[in-house]
Amino acid sequence: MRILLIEDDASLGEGLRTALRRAALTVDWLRDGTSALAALRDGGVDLAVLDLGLPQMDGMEVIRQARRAGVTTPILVLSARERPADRTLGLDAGADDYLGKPFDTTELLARVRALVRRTGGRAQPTLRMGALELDPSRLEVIWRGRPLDLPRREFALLRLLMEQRGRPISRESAQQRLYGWDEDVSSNALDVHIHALRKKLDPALIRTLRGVGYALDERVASEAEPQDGPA
Amino acid sequence: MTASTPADDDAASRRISIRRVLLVGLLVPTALLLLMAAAFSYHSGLQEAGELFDAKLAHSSRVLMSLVDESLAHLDDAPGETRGQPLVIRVWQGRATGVGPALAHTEGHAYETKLAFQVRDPTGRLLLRSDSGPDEPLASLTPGFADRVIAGQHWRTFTLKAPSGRWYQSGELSAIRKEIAEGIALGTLLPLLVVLPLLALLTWLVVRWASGNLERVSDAVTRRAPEHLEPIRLDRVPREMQGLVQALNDLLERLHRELARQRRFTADAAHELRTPIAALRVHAYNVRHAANDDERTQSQDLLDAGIQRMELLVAQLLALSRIENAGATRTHAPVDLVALVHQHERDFAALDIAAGKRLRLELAPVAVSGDASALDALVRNLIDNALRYTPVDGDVLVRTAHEPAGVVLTVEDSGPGIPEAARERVFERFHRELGTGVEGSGLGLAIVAEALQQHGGRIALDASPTLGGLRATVTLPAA
Repeated sequence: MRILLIEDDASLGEGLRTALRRAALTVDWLRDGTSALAALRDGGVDLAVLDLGLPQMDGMEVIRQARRAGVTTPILVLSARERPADRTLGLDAGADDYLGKPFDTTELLARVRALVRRTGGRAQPTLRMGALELDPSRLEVIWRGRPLDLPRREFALLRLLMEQRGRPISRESAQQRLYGWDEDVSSNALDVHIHALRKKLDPALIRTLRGVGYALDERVASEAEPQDGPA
Repeated sequence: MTASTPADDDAASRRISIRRVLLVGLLVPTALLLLMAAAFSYHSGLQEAGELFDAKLAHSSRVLMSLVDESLAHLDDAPGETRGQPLVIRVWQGRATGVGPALAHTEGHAYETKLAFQVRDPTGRLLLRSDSGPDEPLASLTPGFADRVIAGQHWRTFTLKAPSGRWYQSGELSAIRKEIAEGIALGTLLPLLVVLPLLALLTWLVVRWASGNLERVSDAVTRRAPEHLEPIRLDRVPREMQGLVQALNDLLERLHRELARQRRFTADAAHELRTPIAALRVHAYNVRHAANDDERTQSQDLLDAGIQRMELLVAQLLALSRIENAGATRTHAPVDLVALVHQHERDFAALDIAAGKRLRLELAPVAVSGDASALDALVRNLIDNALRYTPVDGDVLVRTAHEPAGVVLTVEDSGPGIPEAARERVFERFHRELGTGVEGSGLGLAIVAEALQQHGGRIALDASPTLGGLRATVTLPAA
């Protein structure tokens, strides 16, 4: 999941980026309205967390122009303008959610998850495929009845694959959604994570479709645990 | 609100009521004057009537004498049967009541009975008398006026001695004089007695109308509240109160502006505090939810920095509000600017923002007259800004000098400076220049501007010719 964070306050931006990353989300942090609008237009973002009092272009203007340009990315507004009238204005301009400052970080993360879930067309808070279950709020994975402790990046990759519900995802798209612009990523980082996941889950679960990308195999996911060794 | 104490009542009763003063002050003297006028006219009526009646009395005696003296001489020679018996002259005995013409008849006058006369021979024997008078002598045989009581009635008499030696006496009941004097006095008093209640009513109405104007003004003042401080309309205020109400309106206007400014400031401050508080909450959340010690330390550092920034912001807010309040109760004293600069040089030496930066001082001894804490905030914020925006290994130069325009304090730095277009903006509250990467409260230059405004000082921003960054030139009136 790739989040576009637009916040001009250095301290708050730093804190939010940390909190979102620790929730296994990929964060791109921008500090002004103009570059925020450009990034929204470029796409490839699952959600934008937008401050309103921004330099160069006000957040309200960013929302209006983005919506006018046909950007459908969900936008969560995070603003010190917290009166009901301000919220109404923001939501009517095209924001999908509105949170006044100061806010509760737990609530912000829940709203982020809810927006991502709705955008993906789901209503259930957990992702499930056969014996594979992933809870984005608790960062928990259960595979064939056993909890699995995954590093954040691997968790994020698995969630990305599960969001596709069996459809393949291209390498480029996966990379884009897993790594922020400012992250120094080696070219084979994705391969390393795929390899680790296969090892921890089932080698056959993640299929490589040559020239297309990766996809989860629903048949493998639904299989009972192979009886390796004598009963 | 609270029960009134006896002391309050006492104070209230001693307080002046213009309405009462006017009513009592106008009505009591008017009533006294009317009574005095009546008493005076009674007395002067009595006196005038006395003089008039005395003259008439003397005239009557003389007329009687000239008419009958000769006839009485013959009477002495008259035959015996009438001799020794006095003659009795009957006067008109008609009765009439009323005043003026009602008392007069074709045959006589109602007051006739009250006049009496007697004539006596030189030995005192009664020769002639009117039947309106008593039988006994009207008066002793002494020429001139006399007052006598005969049969319980007061008489005023005049005695005249004829050359023939006969006594001519005329008398008049004194009651008639009193009656006439009372009539005159009552004639003066009656219209006044009718006028007095009318006058009282009129006075009361006028006083009520006038004090009603006062009450309307005080009602208008009472209706004013912090939410609506519009001026009181002058068109219905009495001319004598226009000055007071105008002064009150000026006060209301100042109060209104001040309240609006305070509200704006409070709203701005509340708004400006939201983001730093949000940051603190996020950092605190991150500390609690850190997966390992590294993450925890990283977030703890951010939390600490956020708290420091919050402290700075709150301190600056308090400084600004203190300077503003000091404006109301201005206590000016001589302040040594050089000592202030030295003080801050020592304070900043211990701070991170001064690390690796050179603070140079070129100070001529200068003093200004002003509020010590406001001037302290002014110097501190100028040096603080210069140090914050100056890169490591950069310079900050502080100078003081006496110039014809006054005392001049310049603070120069080797930072990025402020573009000309932004040099007005930076004095606005909570304004932060973007893209500088410097964290501040956004209040530093607003505090400087406020302190200068209260001391009649000026500030000019331009580029430092020697250091290349910003140069702030402050001019203050010399002490």
